[in-house]
Amino acid sequence: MKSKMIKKILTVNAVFACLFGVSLFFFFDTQLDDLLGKHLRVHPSFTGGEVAEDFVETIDDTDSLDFVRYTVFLPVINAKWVDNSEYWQLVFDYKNGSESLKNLVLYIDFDNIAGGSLSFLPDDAHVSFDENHPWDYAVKVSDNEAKIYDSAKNFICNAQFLSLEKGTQFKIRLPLKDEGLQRILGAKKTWHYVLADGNLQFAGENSKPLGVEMKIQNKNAASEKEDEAFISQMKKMYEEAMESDSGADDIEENLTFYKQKIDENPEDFVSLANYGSNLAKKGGESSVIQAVMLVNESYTYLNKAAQLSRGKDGEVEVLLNRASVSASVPEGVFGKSEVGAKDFVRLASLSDDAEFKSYCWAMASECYKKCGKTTFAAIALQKAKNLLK
Amino acid sequence: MVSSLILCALMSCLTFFFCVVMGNFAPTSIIYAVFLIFIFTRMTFAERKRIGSGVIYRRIFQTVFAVGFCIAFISDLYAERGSMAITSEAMNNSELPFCHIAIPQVLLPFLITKSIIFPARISGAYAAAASMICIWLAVTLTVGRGWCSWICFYGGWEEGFSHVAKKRRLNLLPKNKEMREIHFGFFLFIILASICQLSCIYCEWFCPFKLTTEYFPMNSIPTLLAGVMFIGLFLGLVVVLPILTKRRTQCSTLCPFGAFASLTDRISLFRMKIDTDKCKGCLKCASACPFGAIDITTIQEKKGHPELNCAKCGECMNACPEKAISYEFRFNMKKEKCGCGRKEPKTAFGRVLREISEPAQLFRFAAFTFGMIMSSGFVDRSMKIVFDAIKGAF
Repeated sequence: MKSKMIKKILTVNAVFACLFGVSLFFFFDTQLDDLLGKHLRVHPSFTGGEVAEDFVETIDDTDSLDFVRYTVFLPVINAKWVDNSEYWQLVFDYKNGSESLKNLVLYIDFDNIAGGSLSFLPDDAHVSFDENHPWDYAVKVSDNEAKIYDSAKNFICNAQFLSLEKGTQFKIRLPLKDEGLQRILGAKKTWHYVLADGNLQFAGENSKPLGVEMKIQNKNAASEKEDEAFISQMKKMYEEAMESDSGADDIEENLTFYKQKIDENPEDFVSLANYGSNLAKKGGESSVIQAVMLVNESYTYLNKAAQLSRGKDGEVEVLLNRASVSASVPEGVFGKSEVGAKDFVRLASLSDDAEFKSYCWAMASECYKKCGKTTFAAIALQKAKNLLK
Repeated sequence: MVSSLILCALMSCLTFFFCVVMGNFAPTSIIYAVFLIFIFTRMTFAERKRIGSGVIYRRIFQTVFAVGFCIAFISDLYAERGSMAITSEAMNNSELPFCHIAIPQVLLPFLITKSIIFPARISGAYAAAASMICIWLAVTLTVGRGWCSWICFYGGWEEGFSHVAKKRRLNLLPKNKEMREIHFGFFLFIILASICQLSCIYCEWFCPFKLTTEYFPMNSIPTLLAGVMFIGLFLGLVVVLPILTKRRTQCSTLCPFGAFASLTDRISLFRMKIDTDKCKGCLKCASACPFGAIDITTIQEKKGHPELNCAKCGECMNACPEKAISYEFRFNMKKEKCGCGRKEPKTAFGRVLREISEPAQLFRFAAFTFGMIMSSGFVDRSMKIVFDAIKGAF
């Protein structure tokens, strides 16, 4: 009797799993991926090793700086599927990747190599080296190649140079074939001078090299939580401001109203944007099938509105509508986070209100993070925080 | 009849959503959706007429999926990289697509290194590791090794080639046991080698489907050797041997995912059941099995089910003149060898419910749903590519 009951329950479960479970699984696939993805990582030998230290350039509000992040990794040994099985990776991230900043020279001092040089490679540098940290190896990057020199300025070998992410990221992999370079494996600390067009980067004062402890960077979970809290706070602040501005909204009424306005003037971009935004809101309250259809349809209106409003008076309202929709729809289904991030960045440049600008940068950071552009996310968050200081 | 109509209607709704709506109502997605609904309906109604006769639609579906996947994948590679060769950018940026065959190779090293030993994106991207692992888990819990015969976008090639010739030129039936031993032995070797090397050895050296997806640029002796190996394995195990033997030789002797799925199949909902009372021992099922999962001993010893490596393709059901083979829920396998204790429903509604909850119907529905959803993105895109190419030619 008991086993019959168990079998019945199991059969009902099997019926549900087969008829609805498979499709439900694909509906929530993105959430499951994200959940699992948080606990997985690719083996460091494929990614370039563990991060020892990363330096983010302080970004001012004028957007003048292009050079944004320098990441030093721990050396990799016994790597698979790559040109050199032993290498040391250094990564440069740029916002746009202007040509002048790409002509850079990197001088490195290892703590386990005595001596070194205080003179430059034949370059026009506007700084001098710290006497306590003469460099042992230099990496000269130009014309999409990287060359390694020792302190006697002898050419050692070429480093592997990779230009990625549409030229906004350089990965330099120093092959550890040279006996001297191999000493990086035993180094406890290294010092780095990053010179772009003769100017020292990532440092407040001249001559101060960037010190890197050659051990796994302690990821600060508290700072991540702090960032999330900051974004939530910005959202809350903005929502409160919006609530005081507008009364209660009826989506159907709004849709009828804006549709009428669009019929009267098909080029009324504010109405187009509002209509699109309300369609997306309606999607949020509908069944899954309808939601996908409505959100896809909403982008027809939102994109048209954004196109028509470029450089005109109502551009802020239009972009805000599209950006808000892009930030709220699931990235795995619609893939609109990058569009949203770009809209928020543009919105920040169009406004003079510091709080609104900060909200836009915070939202841009969230959108960039969603689509995997972590460097841009870090820059945007830094900007959002700076604006409120 | 009503149960079949209900299942077909449900599948049509799902196809409409996953193919047409997600495909943004593109004409190719509509064409593919119509094709899928046709295939599923024909399969369901064919099975009503004669058990096992729907297998032909499975064959068509899996072959179409494999070809469609290949066209879409290769055209993506050409658009992105200009060739099928893996670039150092993709490699160094950890952007290689992660396929299911890599899963058994990364699992044990994951326990040791707490990381995936494959340069893939983890999540949020096309063919990311987390996404494939989630799909594998869902498949394992439902259709189990049915993946190989219904969903695998590589297996479709062998499925197609194994039905090119009318007659079998080479009979591997007496070698079934040895082939299984080779398969599991090779699987063990791949797993151990992957742990020792902390690298997906099968993907690096043996995978024949690099010829239909992507491969390392052949610019050194090891990569040249690997090139010779995968071209040889593709021609030998995916083209020539399936034509000669009418068997899926790569899937049943080399594929580590196949062996792994056979081992994890124990937690799936379904398995094949051989009714030993009805079985006359004609061995037509053994001869028809493309995976070599039914031996002479399986029948002689009255095991009541195929061997461990059964992929639930249903070819044996089609071949059996006594209709002694059927799908069954795994939890129903131990007892109740016959259905004598089962009460017949008294009402029409009860009969419909009983029919819908038949293991065969449910298995086909689940397996087809997986295949339909996974194939929709690729096949409609490949159709568009082909149509555009034809348009361009004229």
